[in-house]
Amino acid sequence: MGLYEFAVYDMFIPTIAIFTFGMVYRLSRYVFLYKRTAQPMWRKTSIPHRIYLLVDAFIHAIVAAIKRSKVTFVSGIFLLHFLGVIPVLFLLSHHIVWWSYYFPPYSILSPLAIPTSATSSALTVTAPFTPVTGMSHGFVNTIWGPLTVILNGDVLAILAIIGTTFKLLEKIPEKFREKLARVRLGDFVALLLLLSILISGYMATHHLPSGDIETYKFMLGLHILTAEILVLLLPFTKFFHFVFSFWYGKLHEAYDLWRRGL
Amino acid sequence: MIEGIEKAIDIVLSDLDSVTLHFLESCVSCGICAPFCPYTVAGPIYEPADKAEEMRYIYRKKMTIAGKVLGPLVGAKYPKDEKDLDRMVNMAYRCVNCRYCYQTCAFGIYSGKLVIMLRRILDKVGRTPSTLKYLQSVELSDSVLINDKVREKWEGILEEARKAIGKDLPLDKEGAEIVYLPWLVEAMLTPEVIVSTIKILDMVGANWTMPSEPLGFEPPMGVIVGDRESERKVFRRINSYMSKVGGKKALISHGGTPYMEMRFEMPFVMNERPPYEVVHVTEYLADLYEKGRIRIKKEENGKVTWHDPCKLARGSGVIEQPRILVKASTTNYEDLPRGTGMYSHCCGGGTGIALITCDGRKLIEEFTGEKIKPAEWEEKFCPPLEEDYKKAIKQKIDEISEINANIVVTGCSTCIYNINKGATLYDRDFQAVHIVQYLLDKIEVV
Repeated sequence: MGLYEFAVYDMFIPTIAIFTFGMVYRLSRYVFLYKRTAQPMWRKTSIPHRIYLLVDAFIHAIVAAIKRSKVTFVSGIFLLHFLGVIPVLFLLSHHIVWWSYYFPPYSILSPLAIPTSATSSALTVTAPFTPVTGMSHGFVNTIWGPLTVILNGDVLAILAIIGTTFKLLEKIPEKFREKLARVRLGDFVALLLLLSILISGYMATHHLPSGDIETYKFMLGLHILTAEILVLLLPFTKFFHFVFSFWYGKLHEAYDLWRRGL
Repeated sequence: MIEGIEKAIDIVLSDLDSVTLHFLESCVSCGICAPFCPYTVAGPIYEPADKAEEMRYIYRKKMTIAGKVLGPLVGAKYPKDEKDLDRMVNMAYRCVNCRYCYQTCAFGIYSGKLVIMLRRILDKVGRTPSTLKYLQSVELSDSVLINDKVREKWEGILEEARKAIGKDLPLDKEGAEIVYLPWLVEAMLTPEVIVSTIKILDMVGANWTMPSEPLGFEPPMGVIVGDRESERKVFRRINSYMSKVGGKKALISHGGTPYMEMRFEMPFVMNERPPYEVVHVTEYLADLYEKGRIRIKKEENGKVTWHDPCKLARGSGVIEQPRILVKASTTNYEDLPRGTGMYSHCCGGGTGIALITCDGRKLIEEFTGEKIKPAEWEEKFCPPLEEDYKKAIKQKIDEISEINANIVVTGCSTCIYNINKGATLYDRDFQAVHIVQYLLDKIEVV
């Protein structure tokens, strides 16, 4: 049995089981530690102002990063999250097909699919021929039009790899020269795992390092397996922010802002 | 293992709730909060997430399976020796709890709250700076007027107020609508604020009273030193006084710790909402102004700005009211350039920091006439803190200088002390004043 079969057939159920167990464990801690206490007198704020505060709670850290942590904004927020991980994970055409296989209603997002390449369904980076689309327009036929120049798997994966690599390299002097306590061993593990998913996915898509079927299957298997490792580790690592911490933290913050009438 | 550390950790973590769990577990080490903390200038190891990490080490060791099994490999450990405690103290007392880290965190984590948890653990193993322990003991005394010297100073302030209004003060009067609560820290740092507030209350014909002696030093000192029980004790004393005089509104002129703690935190700590309203003097005056009961004379008196005390603005939502008042008083108002309201920059010396510097200790000793003996470990703790404090307040001083303001109006005695100290230290030509002092001769009762 090859790596591909192992990842697709053997690891899928254990991954979902561990993920589910982890999520139940983590979330139950929040439920059991909930304490109801007396509330201060809330300041009066209008409904429109509360809506503004809710939106603001979600974006003001991004604005803060743009103002005072530009490198973090470009590498961590913009390249890694906004351009890299979020559109690639949820909208890359291959991934939409994958998500839809396990969760059919997901196919509703198919019109928003991001193609692998801006100009062709062929493998543009490594294809041994010039792409010929046969289309009257310059881009593959997606809803994104000219935005496809950026919104395509090739570019987004490369940007995400750059962002992730930068974050990884940035943490080395932070950890070992500046001795920052907040930089943890887990950060390196998480970023290396993310990087291996991105690189293996890119290589599989482009049939790298060689075009034979066994290499392709190995690389795709590696991509799926590393992604599964991420999913099963998600409830126990910083990746938890993606499914819970970010949303909980921001909703609590908005609630606190309402209470204090900011 | 340090004596008593495990018990201290047990007590502090027994209070854990789901929101604090989120603060402990959700940091991804992005560092966005770092440039906003007034103490990052002291070195990157004092970034908010780094300070909070000290508490996370302990939490992971105590309450996570990975931490128990893998220990330091997953950042889980207890402080094991004096060196670890020294590091923890440095972290815990390079935070002014200004909430800016909370406001700029991508995940809504309030690192300052974790720093206070750290202070609670340190307090239980005898690592609270002696100045704060002294002030806490003053606050917990039956009377905060602990000796004749302090009593004389307090009486002097009351006498000055009597002269200012030309009649006796309505001390401890039952049935008054407004109960003015001045604190001993104001008597020490800004006694004129107490006199000005009394004069304004008299001018507007309020039905008011005040305690014949302060109900606390800067209550609750328990939150500053990290002692939940003393916090409750002082809150109980305040509530009991309010209930005795039957006041409907507690009026506070010190917009630092006491206002925010009484307005927003007391219900959580006591698990009951006080049966009275907590109002800062700027809210009270803005309300009178908007109802047309007072007018404010507009004057040309150099450039005026408003410094938002972090606990009054970001912590309590008092942002517009002071601006309404100050803008009505001058033709030359300008907001501070690096951020206002929710995004204002802290003065750098709140939550006890200014008081534990060497100068702060001298000031308290002069005020009380009592000698505070620092513990041995404080000898190496104080001098670097003094330097870092100066760096932290310089940021505020530079911000004020950017707009060439002449008068910095604010609503917190600690901010006034820090800004004026910084102006002297860095040779700048402006002065910080409390809003009641600033408005006193500009208010006209309609």
